Amino acid sequence: MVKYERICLPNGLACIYNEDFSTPFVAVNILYKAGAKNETEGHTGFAHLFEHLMFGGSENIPDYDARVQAAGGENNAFTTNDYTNYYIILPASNLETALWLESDRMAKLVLSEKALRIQKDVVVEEFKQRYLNTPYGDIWLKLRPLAYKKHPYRRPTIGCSVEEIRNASLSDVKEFYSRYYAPDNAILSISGNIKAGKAHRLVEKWFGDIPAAGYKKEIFPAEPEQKEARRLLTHGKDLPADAIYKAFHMDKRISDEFYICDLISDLLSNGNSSRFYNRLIKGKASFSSIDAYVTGDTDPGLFIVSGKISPGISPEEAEKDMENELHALVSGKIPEKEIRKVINKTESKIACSSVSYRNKASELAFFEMLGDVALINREYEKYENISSEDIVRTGCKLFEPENSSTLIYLKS
Amino acid sequence: MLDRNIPPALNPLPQASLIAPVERSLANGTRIYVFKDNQQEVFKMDILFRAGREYASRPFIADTALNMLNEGTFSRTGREIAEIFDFHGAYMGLYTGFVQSSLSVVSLYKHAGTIAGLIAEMIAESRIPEEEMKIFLKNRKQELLLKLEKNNFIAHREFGKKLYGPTHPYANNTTPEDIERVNGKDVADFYTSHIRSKAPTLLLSGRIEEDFLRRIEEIFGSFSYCAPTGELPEFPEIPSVPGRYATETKNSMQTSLRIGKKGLSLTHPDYPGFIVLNTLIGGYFGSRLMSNIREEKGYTYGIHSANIVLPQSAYWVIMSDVNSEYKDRAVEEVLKEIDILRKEPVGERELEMVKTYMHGEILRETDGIFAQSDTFAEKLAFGLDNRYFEGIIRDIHAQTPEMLLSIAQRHLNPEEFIIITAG
Repeated sequence: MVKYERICLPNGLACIYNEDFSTPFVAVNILYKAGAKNETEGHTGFAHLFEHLMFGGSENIPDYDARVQAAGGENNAFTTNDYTNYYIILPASNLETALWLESDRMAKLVLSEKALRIQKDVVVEEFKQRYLNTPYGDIWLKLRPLAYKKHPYRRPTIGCSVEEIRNASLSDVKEFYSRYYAPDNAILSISGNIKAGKAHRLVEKWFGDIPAAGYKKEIFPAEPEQKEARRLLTHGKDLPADAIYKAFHMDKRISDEFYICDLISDLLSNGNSSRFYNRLIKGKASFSSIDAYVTGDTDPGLFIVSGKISPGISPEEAEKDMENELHALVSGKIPEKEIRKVINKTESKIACSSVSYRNKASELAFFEMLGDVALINREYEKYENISSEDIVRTGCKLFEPENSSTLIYLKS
Repeated sequence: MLDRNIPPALNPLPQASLIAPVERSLANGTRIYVFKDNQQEVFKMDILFRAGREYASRPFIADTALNMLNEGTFSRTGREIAEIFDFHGAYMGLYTGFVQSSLSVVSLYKHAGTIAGLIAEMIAESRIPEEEMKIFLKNRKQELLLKLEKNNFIAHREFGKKLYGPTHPYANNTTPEDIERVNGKDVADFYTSHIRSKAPTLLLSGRIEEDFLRRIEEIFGSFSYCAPTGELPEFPEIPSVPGRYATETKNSMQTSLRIGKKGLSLTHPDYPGFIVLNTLIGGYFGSRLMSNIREEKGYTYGIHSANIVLPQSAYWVIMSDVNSEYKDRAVEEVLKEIDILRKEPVGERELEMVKTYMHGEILRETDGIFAQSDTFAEKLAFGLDNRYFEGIIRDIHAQTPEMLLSIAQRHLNPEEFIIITAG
């Protein structure tokens, strides 16, 4: 059970506090509801590039990182399709420094041509390091546009190409900042060794006078129902194994279906007692590794199954084995004990995760973004009520061939 | 009116609040350290074996023997073992080190007894089934083949070979052929003489009630161990071969860099100053290398350095993946930064920031009962405990620009550097 207090400032900033006196630290988390899905055509990779520019200094603080370090803290950020998340972990006695830093860059970020030019270079190197110069690194660049035709999730967070990252201009950057980086489009969560009341007084002091931007929620084009199985074949540069990636459309993070799909992914691949492990890694041994997971996006997301094929097994045979397992799961009653097992594992995972004030800060902000912060304490109950019928009903629809996008990644 | 130009006052960082574990020794030589916090719902158990890679006659034997622990006992198959862990929501991991190997499990306390009993059985009665072992080896070989496709893995291996010589365990030079050559008899022998015959060390953390502790003492006290913890075999270290070495790879969009030399061990008198220097040059986000090569030049997404302490040695290395077009300039800039460290004393403001950052890092590293159990396990391997952190915080703060200048001159001589580029 994560206890929290939620208060909204008049300028629209949602603030959530969790007291945790087992640590001398606090985690200060700021989530901006702007991610890759908010980018415009031809400017993909922009939200992530912008995240880099947030560290370039603000009106009163030219040296953001140095100030965090001088307070004994550490900080970082990440960008997803839905949002951009920033955090600082520092000793609780220096909390105010974190609020000073975050409020100043929310109020007035300094943006320069030089910083933009260098961060484009840095992001291009990140693109190469993580997506282009590494085996199978480009699968999301290929899988997203295969699975999505209309919704902006068709674009990878890093961007569609190096060229599009290079396209960004300083005026694009300024417009993105003034549209999205404002208190009424942000969530601030704090967890750690600080009383909620005291934390809130400091938050009011530093964030209270930042004007709202009058942000209007955007509506994104819904992805039309997929009507045909899609396939794509791609060739690697002499890789050690062929691989298969399958993406199936599923519902959004906040839906009941999400929890059922998540449980299905656990039945298939969580732990050495899972179906994939026992039948495909052992048993038929057609894969050297195989995994199933859900993306958990704000809008309807994807259920992914991916595996590296064992030497001597053809991609056709491996794909058949993979599909057989998906269909076997949804074509009969699932033993009660098997469902109980994955629910128990989820219970344990939730208990372990709530030990950490860092996780609590980021999860509180995440659930607030989804529109229901109280969900943080109701997740286990959602899993606990799932039945064999729910799994079979949801899984049958999920694994229909017309709902699938398959990427076969050949070794050469 | 709020003046944003005035920063909030900074408070000095506290000392690390260290928890001394309760220590027990069993008659059979097993040692138990308990980091108790009964507010937790979760418990963690780490079992440390003196059964790392250095004890094995050939590569990958120690890894395989350890990983076979969950593949079957005399009365249970691997599948049945996995069912018990998963049904009780327990997360189990196996880690092979150079001297020490470990089995770790995290679980809800309500299942602690069942899980501990199962683990004891796995350690006492490993069956090492041939079929399971073959699959394990096949999959690990595939993993290795995949790593060998990556420039940073290739560069790190080349660095290790030049630093320790190709056959030294610290060079981490296991080949796909080494994995193919592993056979059941060698693995079974290794299990018997190192995992089964030497008294392990247990670390218990989180929720640990008295009756559970008594149960642990009963279970782990009932084994008899015949082997002494064991002298480590000697691996003659060959002298490093400084110089610049280039490896061609098929992924040439970026080049992986490794620049480094032998480093300093925990007990070296210059160790505290050396890790301050390391942080300053490449050990944190605001380091000189990050500021120059990423934030000024845009040659890379990241550049880092680290002093890696091994059981009987240490090495220091700078690591980065850089735009291939600028690989020579990146190396040049690194050497320029080293030269500055050897010629100019560090400014007071920068030094103060680095000290505070390092102090904060130590507090984060030792924050919480589970973290302290982990750091304790690491320090134990060097005959130390968490009191180490009190000393190192004090020693870090005692460093002066003059001390650092002379340490840089002693330990960062570019003529001793091994410089590797891959891709």
